[in-house]
Amino acid sequence: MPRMKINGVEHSFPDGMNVLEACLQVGIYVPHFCYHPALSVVGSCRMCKVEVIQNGRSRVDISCNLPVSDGLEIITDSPEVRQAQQMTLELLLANHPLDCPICDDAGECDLQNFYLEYGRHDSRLRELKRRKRKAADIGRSIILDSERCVLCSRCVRFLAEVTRTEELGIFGMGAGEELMVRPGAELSNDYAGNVVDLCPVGALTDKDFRFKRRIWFLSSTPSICQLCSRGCNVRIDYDINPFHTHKRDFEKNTHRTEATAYGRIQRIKPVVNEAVNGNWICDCGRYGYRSTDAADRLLHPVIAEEGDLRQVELSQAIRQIASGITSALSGGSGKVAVVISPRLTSEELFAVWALLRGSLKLPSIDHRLPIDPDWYGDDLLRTPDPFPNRTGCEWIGIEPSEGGTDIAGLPQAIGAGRVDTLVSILTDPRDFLDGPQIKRLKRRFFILRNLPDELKPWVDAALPAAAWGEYRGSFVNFQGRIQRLEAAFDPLGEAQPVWRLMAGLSAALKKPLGWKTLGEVQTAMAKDVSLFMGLSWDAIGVDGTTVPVHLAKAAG
Amino acid sequence: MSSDKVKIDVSETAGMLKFRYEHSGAALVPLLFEVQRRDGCVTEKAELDVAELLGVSPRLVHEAVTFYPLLFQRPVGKYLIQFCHNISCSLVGAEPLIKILEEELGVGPGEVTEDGLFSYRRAECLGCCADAPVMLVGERLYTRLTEDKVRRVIAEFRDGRVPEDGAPLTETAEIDNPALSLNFKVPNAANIKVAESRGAYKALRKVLTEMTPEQITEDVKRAGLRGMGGAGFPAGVKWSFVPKDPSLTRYLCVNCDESEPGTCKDREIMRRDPHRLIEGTVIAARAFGASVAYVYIRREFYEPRDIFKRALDEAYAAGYLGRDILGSGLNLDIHLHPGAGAYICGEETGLIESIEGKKGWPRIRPPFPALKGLFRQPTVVNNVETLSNIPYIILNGVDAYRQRGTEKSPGTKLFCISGHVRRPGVYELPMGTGLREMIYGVAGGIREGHTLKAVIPGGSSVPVLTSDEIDIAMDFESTQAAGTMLGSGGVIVMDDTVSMPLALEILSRFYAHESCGQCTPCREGTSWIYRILQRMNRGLGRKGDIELLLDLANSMDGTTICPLGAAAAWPVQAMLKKFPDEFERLCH
Repeated sequence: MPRMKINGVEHSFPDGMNVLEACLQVGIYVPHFCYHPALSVVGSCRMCKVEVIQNGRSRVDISCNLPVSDGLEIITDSPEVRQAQQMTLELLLANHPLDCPICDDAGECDLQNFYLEYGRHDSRLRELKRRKRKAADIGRSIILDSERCVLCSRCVRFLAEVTRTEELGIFGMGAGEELMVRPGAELSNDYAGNVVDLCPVGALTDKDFRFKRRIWFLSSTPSICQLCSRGCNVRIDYDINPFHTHKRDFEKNTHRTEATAYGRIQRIKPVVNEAVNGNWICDCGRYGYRSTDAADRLLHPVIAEEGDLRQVELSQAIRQIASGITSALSGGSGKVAVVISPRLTSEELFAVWALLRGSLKLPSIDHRLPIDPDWYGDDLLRTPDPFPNRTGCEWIGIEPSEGGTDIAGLPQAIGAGRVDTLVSILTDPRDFLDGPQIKRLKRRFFILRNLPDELKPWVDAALPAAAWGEYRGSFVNFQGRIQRLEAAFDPLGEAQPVWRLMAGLSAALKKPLGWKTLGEVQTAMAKDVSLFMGLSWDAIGVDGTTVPVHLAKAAG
Repeated sequence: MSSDKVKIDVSETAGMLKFRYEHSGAALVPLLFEVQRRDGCVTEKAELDVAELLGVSPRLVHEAVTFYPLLFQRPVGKYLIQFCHNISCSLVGAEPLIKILEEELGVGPGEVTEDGLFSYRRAECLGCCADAPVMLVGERLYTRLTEDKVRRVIAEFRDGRVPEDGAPLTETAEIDNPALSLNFKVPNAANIKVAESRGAYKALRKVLTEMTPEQITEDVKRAGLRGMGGAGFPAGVKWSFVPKDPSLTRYLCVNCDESEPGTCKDREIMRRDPHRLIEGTVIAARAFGASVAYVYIRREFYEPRDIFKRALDEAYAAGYLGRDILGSGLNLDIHLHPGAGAYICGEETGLIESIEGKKGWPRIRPPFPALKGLFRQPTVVNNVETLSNIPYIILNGVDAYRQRGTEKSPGTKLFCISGHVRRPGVYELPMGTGLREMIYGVAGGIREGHTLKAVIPGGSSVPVLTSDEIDIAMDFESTQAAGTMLGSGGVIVMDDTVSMPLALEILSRFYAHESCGQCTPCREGTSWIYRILQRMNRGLGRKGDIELLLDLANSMDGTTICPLGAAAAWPVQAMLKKFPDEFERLCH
């Protein structure tokens, strides 16, 4: 553990760490472009300069390739360092197009921020700026503006070291060199979107976000990706303020639109969690947020009436479902089959389980939905399981009991008349039943986030569930790590988290669960489910937790 | 020949090259030259074929093709004319001759003549500064060009002939007991029989029979042999950094990328006494246990390459190379590896990257090449002249070597004197010889009717001296004390006709052209400096330009991964300091 001084204060650092990392660790920011914690060190941008005092001699040097060592003294803000930083910025900006007003990165651009902090010089360039390619379409989701590029090579290293696909390179030599896709390639691999996050400037921008919002209009909430069982840590960048529009719209008074009209989620960004996803997320998770603000969201409870769906009060819809279940149960508890998606949070799963198995003792409850044959895992982040909370289902023990039917057995059970009522929670029965089988059911009750037109003919009653971004809760990923999701904004319409709907249904079924808050559900779950023993929101923490850790904590 | 057949030929070449180089990356640039010979350029389709043949990433292939100036993406003429427009050639009239050439060809740089016979490019230093002005036509070099000679050479090529250069060999020195130039004036010294008759490989026999590797290193250390590429680092000390672990493959890279403007010494060794270099290389490899050596020779050295290649074949046949050399159990293979027109590959880690088939972006240190160099194995990079000193040291002893030169810069050195002197040449002289003596004695003084104005004493990068500052000894320490450097020993002499802002523009154009583009200060600074100087020399200088030039130069000096940033900064700093009036006059 070398001991060394940074800005006059002595600290210890682990061997192998570099001085830049050491400074960042103790909260002293050293500006940098090419250094990235998850990529190899190239030391080429020359921005991370610090003053190094070693053996009584002082020099200004880059900090990213200097290992920490005993007795080193580092000064990050001496006049010499400031001058070196300012000069590097002047050089980087000399041929930069300074088109910040139309740059998506404006507001979160390192070049902009560093200029404010360390630059603040007048341009001395009297020559014409060098022109390069602008707005090159280089892949499914990426636009490259090479005039803005500072040639830090982070994207090149990411594609060489992480995805090993090597679509991008820095071609040419010297001042004329340019970042570009190699001949015959396009940047469309499953992780391509990460280059936008890596890019310290606005050279690589995301088609999906391009010109959509100024970033200073965005708010951020941490969440967990729900598109596979890894549970990558992400941040939802959203905007629910309808006044965040263009001045010209404001003047025309056209800003008074529903938040949904322009979508609340603007983009998804990865959040670093070394235990789960490191620095990255896949493109599926990055761009798979649209269902939350999709046009087919079910916003209000509906019941079938004269061949159509009619919007009703929530209490009426719940009553209808409760009486349907009660009628079915008069033919035996096996008449009702419940299919639950492993997309529910553990709290939601537990609520469903507590009511339908705990109180009603239904034997046919299952979560083992067939996996979309187009889904695939890889050796980076994507797992072979597209459901975020299968482990949660398993921990709670969601499965058919003695005499019950599993999902695979449903077609036969329906055919034989053993099951005549389906309760589908966030699932689409067309995934496991064919048309005639669904038709044969007497009652089909749904809890849904999205209701596509094709499903409407099968709905007898449906309750609107809160979508991703609208609810809090937790998932257990494939590694057994419990991670929490925060709600970014309120549910649309009358949508509610499934646990709350279950609480309502339980009252209508005269088996009241009585929960009013998520905390109460969690407390109950922590009491009933041994692997969640002692769990609480705080115990999960921002990075998530694993069973041995939280059990040890619970045991004190 | 059908196109299929051609394709198979390249595959065979690829297989052969892979075999020869062990590492497929190292076969990349040689193979790309093969492809270029076949197709006239390297198309994107060919890039993908080559990537697949060698199993290297197509991204790396495209980076190489776009990085190296001598790999072309579009066809060039049957004969590519490369006309040097760097400092030494410009001093003796390159620009008017380029006008003549353009007139003869009827095309500009980068264009192909209508008949497809010629295309031409302005080339940076071709490493023949003592024979300036020079041009390459295809693989043939033409030196000491005049208007008539340019017209005659072009005319003869047009007539389907390949004219002889006809110019005499580069001037050399008469010196007692030369260490380096012993065979320079001996006809056919590149022939192994002739070389052996003059003592070649005696030192190697001595080393293999009488000395341990440690003793070789010890002798070279005691002799005080310094690196002759420019930095002057003690060669024996460099070898001693290499780990002794027998499980590691150790490499020796011989730097013959001679590209520092004003420097043309290694070329003379390669073409006039190649066996001296081979012998020095084997001895050095023996000293630190290298089993493979790469001789990285700049592409433009066609004649030296052919001569050296023949010499290598002879040395293999005579048992001085290959397996079990002279029955000693020592194994060494030497690969001759082509550069591709980038100055930066003379920097040791740029050279290593280039051999690996990558663009020549220097590496950050640590790790140093002695620990992790070529193919991440321990590697020493030595200059041609450095290694060529070793046979003399071994045969004549440390004391004999140290008898000449100074205490810290012992021995002799090849000095390349170019520019406005009467007798430009490559002269072996003791270290510490006076600069005045070199210019007025050895090189015969300034050309008729003119007086000395300035000297760049160690290759284009080092700080310039005024005519009042030439009473210095030419060794590493004395030059440093005088505020300049010995560098590569390229002495560029400028008389009173030279405009310093123009000279600096030529030098800055070179660094702007040769910056590899990796580090911010050098990539942006070199081209910015060049553009300011261009503007000043066109009469558009402004107040503040000089201050800006200095700021830009200072921002590159010692602030980059490799020394090119500093090398580009020093001429600017020194010129502005020593000839301020000439620059101030341009700013208004």
